[in-house]
Amino acid sequence: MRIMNEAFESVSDEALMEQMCRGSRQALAALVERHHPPLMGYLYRLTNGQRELAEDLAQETFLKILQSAALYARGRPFKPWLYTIATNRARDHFRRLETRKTDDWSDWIEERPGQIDLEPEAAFLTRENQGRAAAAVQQLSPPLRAALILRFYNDLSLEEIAQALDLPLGTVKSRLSNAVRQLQRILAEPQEV
Amino acid sequence: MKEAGFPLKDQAQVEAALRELGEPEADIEALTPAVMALDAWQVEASTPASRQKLLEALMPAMPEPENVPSVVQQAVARRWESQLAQLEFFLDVARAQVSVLRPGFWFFSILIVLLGMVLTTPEFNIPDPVILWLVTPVVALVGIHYGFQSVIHRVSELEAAAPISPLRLSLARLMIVLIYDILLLSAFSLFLISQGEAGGSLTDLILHFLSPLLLVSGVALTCSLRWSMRVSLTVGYTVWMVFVMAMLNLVSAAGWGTLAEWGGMLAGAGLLAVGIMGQRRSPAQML
Repeated sequence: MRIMNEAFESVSDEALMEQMCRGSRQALAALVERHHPPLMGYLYRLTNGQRELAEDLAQETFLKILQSAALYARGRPFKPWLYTIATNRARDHFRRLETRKTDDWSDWIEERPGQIDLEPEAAFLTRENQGRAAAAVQQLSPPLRAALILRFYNDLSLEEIAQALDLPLGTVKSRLSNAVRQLQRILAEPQEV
Repeated sequence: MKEAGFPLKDQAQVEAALRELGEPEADIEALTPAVMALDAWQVEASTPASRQKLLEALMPAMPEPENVPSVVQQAVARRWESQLAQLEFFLDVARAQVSVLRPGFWFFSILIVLLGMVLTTPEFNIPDPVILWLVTPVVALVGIHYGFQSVIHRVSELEAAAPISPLRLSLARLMIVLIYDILLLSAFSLFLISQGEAGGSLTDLILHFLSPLLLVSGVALTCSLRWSMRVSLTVGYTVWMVFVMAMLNLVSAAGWGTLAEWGGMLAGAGLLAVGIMGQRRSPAQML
């Protein structure tokens, strides 16, 4: 079933958001159709490959957007706002987890590698490369990982990342630079057999 | 199934992206393969079925057309938002930080003050200012330890991943710790006055505890930017001990005791500002 009406394809996110604020379900469907895949990609990678958690966080993100619809400032860039909410949801989840179960959420991160669900039909080499890239991204700290994913997978501009993560532009650049350098170092390390 | 993939299609685009970060030309060639390697991690994260399921979950929350706020209501809401959002946001952050502080912070601070009360008994015969100089640094160290132990536990990395800046988080946390400590020590000062043995007015006693509280907290917090929390707490306490020795032996003899306490308090406030400003960079330094 095709969810998004073709009439919405050329409408901007901000205009869709305004229509959604006025109660348009088609506008909501168009926003979901447009942003759910990249948002899921972001949350999936940010949570180190936990698909169910990423789905829950994506749902919470869209719910939050609906709940905040009345306060949506006309013309406010939608995409950075979406990722601001998504990152906040992820952070809140980790914080709850940290408060409830562990003293140190870095322990939690280290448990995740290996849970990345690779496609079974993928060729061995592809899977190996995919696993290496995933493992390398997982080794980055959350601030670096968030910036890296937003830039290189979700294609947000530096300005959009700065808005989404509420950081100065210079900090975003240095964070990304650090992330890329660490990535290079991790990938250069010999693989364990 | 829609893929959330790697949007940079060729080497030139990756190089341009690296150039945008201000990477030196000499490094771009070496860094490009690392970025291109990201392309291998493709995620098939969204299906028409999952989007349909999401829409079904969202629809009940969709505002009914008749419930949608009018243009005027939306404008009022936005105005309130702009004026209150910052304050509300900061209070939310502070409230969240209260839940982050572990029970040990509240418990040990009170315990130390209760132990301080024991020192007021005639058997010990310790002057009130000295009791405050003994008790307050320990209360301050407990506050810094529990308030900023995220530096040890790397929680601040998580915090830095969020739109709330580490600076605002640190400020909110410091505010909670200091307010709690000041209330606790003010109550202790009132207790000393009620015992009728206080060697001065409430203002004097406040100065006696504010000076060590700010100085020890400031030194420890600033040191934590470079060293482990344990070392920082030790340095904070040592600095205070040296300060007290100097004050008792040298400065007070010249009648400058109050001036020295004011100096310690102001220095402590300055160091706290340095420590807090430094927290905004500390997550990156920990990488």
